[in-house]
Amino acid sequence: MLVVIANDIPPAVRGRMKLWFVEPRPNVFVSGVQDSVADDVVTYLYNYCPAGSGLMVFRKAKHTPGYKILGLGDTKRNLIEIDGLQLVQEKDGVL
Amino acid sequence: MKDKYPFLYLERGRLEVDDSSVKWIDSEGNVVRLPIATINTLLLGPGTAITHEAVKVITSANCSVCWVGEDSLLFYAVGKSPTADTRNMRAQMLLASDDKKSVEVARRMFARRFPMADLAGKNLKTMMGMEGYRVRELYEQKAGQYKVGWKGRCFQPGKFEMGDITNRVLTSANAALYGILTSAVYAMGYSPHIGFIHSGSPLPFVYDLADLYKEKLCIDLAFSLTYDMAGQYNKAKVASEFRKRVIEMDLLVKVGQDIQSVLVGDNYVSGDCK
Repeated sequence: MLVVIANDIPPAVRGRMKLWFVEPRPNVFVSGVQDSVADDVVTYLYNYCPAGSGLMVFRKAKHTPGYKILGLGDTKRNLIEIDGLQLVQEKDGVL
Repeated sequence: MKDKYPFLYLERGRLEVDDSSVKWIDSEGNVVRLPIATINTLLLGPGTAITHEAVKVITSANCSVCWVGEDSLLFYAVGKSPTADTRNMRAQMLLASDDKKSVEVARRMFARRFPMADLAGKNLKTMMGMEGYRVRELYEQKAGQYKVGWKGRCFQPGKFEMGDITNRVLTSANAALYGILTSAVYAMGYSPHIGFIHSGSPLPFVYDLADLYKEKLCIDLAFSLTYDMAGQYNKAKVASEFRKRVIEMDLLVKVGQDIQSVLVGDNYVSGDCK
């Protein structure tokens, strides 16, 4: 399972994505592709989406916690890792 | 348990609850929400504060809390929900209370460490005697390998400074190993109090398990460091070298697999503990 959410995707990339994904809502892409194909798709997206796309990729993972989150470009919340677990940092520094 | 994330180590910050979720505020004011229902144990290091409400929410999600020393090298206390899953502890108790099965577990533990030894049919006392002999031999061999003088293991509680360097490294590395293992044992829902080889001491199961890893993590470390440190005991170096080895051998993942395989043997079928 691979889910991609984006703010804005170049039309050419969107066209290519439709080879694997359905787009149930604008800029939400869902697909059932597995391991190696998923790797290719993610690499493709990383190569062809500009930083402003605000790309978020969710991948199913074999090991706990069962998912992997990949982000590209400007997102307001930072992804951090504590002891290998991906967590979201909601607020930076200044109290 | 297997699907949950094994543990998170947190230090220098505060655990609070708002909107019924648990949030971690670190010393720099960064806020991270923790999906505690998907985490097995929170290891709280020095400088952590936790609110009463946070404990309530965390335990109701069946996540246990351990208070540990710096980098989880020492273990102080554990907080577990009274309704926590007891399946593993029950399996451990059943094995320990059956004399025949308990010796089998001990034999599997010895077989791990001395794969060449013939342990078939031997009782616990004989095996412990064989172990003592082999461990003394191991000390001698490591002393020879690293060209370090060795007058035997000596450990006097409260007189740490009195020991020679090798013994001091051994003592502190052992303590650190016990800390890590105690958290791991609790995190997996076993009891550190029910052992198969050791008995009577406060944490026999932890000592049983520690013996599986001591050769590489403590004994080899102690002799190699004695050689390196050349007469000057260096606490920071011991801790960092020890940590390096723990990470290298992926101890926390390994200990989970090892406990299952020594308790029930390698013919273990998931979910079946008979």
